[in-house]
Amino acid sequence: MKVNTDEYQKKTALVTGGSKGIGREVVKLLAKNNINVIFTYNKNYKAAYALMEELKDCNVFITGIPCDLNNQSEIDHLVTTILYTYPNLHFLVNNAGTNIDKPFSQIKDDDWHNVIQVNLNATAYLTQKLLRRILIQQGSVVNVTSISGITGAIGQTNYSAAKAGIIGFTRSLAKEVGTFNVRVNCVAPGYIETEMLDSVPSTNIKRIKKQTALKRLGNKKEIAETILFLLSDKASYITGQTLIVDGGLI
Amino acid sequence: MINQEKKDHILSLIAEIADIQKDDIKDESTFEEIGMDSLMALELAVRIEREFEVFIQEEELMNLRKVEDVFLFVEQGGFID
Ligand SMILES: NC(=O)c1ccc[n+]([C@@H]2O[C@H](COP(=O)([O-])OP(=O)(O)OC[C@H]3O[C@@H](n4cnc5c(N)ncnc54)[C@H](OP(=O)(O)O)[C@@H]3O)[C@@H](O)[C@H]2O)c1
Repeated sequence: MKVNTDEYQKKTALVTGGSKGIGREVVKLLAKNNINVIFTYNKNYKAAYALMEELKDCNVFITGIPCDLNNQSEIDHLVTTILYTYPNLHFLVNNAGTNIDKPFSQIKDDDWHNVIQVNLNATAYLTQKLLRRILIQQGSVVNVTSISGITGAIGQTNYSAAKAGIIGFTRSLAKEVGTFNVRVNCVAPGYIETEMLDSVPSTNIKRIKKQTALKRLGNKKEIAETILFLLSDKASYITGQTLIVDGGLI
Repeated sequence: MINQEKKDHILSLIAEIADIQKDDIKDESTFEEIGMDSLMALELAVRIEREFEVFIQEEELMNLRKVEDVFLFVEQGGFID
């Protein structure tokens, strides 16, 4: 989808977890639509630099900032950088996510807290700290959740809890900030071909494809396009919603 | 002193957000007295930033408790005009 680029002139987006997978595709799509992008990454600085290099000829600025969303001082540093260096923030895409899949009985405290922190707490914290900037710009927020947060999934009690939390958070925040003409929505991907699926056994992937109406996995671009749609004015009457993009799996 | 035009503008914003008559707002009224809750105060801050082109830091926002605090802030806040 190519949207009216004038609409986005000089607008700035923050995308968490932009170094690879879905986030990387979002960064590229926003850049192509003339939106300045600040993206974060955790460890993958080579991928982050490669992305900046790849987009260097775009007519917008692209900046990658390292930030471990499990580390409070790094998050605070990110917030300070954004507030003072890029205060005209329009869009926030809380995309970074992680999973540690195990049967519930084997989940250690750290496994629980890490997954809740990166997926849910960091989403809420970043949004809270940057919200007023977005309200002033009458921007928009998209949070990346998962079908696992809607249906549940074996071995994903921590991940499902975090992703379900994001859906509730999104619904409530949308109600609070609607008066500012700011929209907050979720995208819930099904099974998308990224490194996150590396841990899923190939027999399970086969079964998932069979159970999916479209008989295939999704690709990153399909999620990125949905995120762009929800950020854009094309979705101007959609807020508090979770858009499921799963090829008809659930 | 803040000029009358800006003061009027701020009072109109407060009246609109708190859904009260402008005449019912006194300089020394607290937000609580005029029924302005924290979400309304946030809306006021956003509108002031947008319409007066000033930058309100989070810590400063916490210090705005009375109508006259808002006048003082805008007066000292340094418009970018
Ligand atoms: N792929 C799927 O099938 C699927 C399905 C449903 C929902 N989702 C959701 O979609 C989002 C993107 O997933 P993806 O498949 O694109 O995953 P991915 O390829 O594994 O990429 C994850 C991104 O998040 C970052 N990240 C991970 N842990 C982090 C941490 N502690 N601090 C900061 N950043 C961290 C990574 O940074 P580094 O590269 O630096 O590590 C990377 O940029 C996630 O929220 C995920 O839960 C994915």
